[in-house]
Amino acid sequence: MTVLLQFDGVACPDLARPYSFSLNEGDARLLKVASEAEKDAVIGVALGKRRCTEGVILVQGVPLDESRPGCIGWVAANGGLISNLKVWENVTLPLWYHGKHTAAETEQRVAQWLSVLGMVEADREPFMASPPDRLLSLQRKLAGLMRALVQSPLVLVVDSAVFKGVDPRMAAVWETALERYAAQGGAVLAVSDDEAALPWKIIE
Amino acid sequence: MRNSLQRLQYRLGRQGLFVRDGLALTWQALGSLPAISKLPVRRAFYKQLLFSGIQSMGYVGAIGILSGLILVVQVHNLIGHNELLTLHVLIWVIVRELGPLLAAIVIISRSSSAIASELAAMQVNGEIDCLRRMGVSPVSYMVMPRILGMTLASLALAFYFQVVAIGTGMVVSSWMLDLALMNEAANFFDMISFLEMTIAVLKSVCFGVIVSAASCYYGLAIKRALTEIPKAASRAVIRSLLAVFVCDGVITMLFF
Repeated sequence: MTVLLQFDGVACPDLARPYSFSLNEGDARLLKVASEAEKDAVIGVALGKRRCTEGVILVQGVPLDESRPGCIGWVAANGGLISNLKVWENVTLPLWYHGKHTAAETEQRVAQWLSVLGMVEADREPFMASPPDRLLSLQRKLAGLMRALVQSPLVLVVDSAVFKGVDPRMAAVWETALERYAAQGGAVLAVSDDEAALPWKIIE
Repeated sequence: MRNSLQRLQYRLGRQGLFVRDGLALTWQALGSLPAISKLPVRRAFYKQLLFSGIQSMGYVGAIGILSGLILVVQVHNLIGHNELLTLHVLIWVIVRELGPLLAAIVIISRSSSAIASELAAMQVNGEIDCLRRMGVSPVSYMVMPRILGMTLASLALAFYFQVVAIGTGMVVSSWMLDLALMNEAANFFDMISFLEMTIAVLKSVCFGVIVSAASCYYGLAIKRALTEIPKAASRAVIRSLLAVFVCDGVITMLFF
């Protein structure tokens, strides 16, 4: 099994303790933290947007700073959409920013994940053509999740608050989609400050 | 007295910071020019070009027609029927000054506040952070296409304004003096120098860069409060105007 992401004694001011763990190809794991601030810090550090004062983060054995841009994706708690872009542009933004993909290939990828996420075909076009401010909170979260899945990074960092307020049946569909993503050769790291979080193996 | 001096020093210091940070932002944006090969960046560039350039053509055209007409009528009133001097004045005023300056003013009034408030709103809503977290550089995705788009728009609008204003001026002049329009056009091309055209291009490029960099700088520099958005927009407009006139003065003093 290839180690995709490794935290080796990672510490920074907002982290309560140094973190050491690794995620293999196919893993979908949950990291429980003490507070929202710590959750933000872990996500920031994992995405390379916060400097760690100690330790090192490796992506496939390469330090995070030297890894290829876009190798770690992110699912934000509220979708994290860009308001002046339509959903389609939001979904394809990191994919097309970090790599070259044809429109046909992208459409196929989007359609595949939309069916995994349980969206019926009739709803897809209006959803993709809609600006974020016309979407419900749930739809914004769905678009954010879609964006990360379509980008297809090596490791997906999920803010588990994305599941808050989502009805259990839909949440189960999203969990299955993330597990399926991991099974296709990626890894998923969900970070939570909540007790009632995902039913995944917890990182000790 | 000491307080006034301290206030002056503080204000000058803030202007200095704006110039330093604005230049640094422009430099970073120039460094990220290769990102234009990425599709989302190219899309942002096209959108900017459409908004600042193509959608401004109507206003610039109307201002060009009126400027050419007013200028020729005023010159005729002032100096009487003198075809060559009228053409000279058209070149001095329209090519050297009004073309780049009015194009910049139209861009400032339409795009500067729009860009500053758009970026400021994105900053307040945490969207700039979202971009960073996705590994998308705000400079290459938000700033560079705007600087490039507005600079090209400034260049094209200035040229368009000059063509429309001088064309109108020549039509009005030939009608008032009862001259052949083709003769006037031939005289115009004999009179205009390469230096004048080059300086007009230089001014348009400088104004485009200054306005876009100032708008992006004030949009991105705000604190995270909704009340900062209108302040960012008004600062962008006022500082852009001021910077454009300062730059115009410097270039004019250097070359003419």
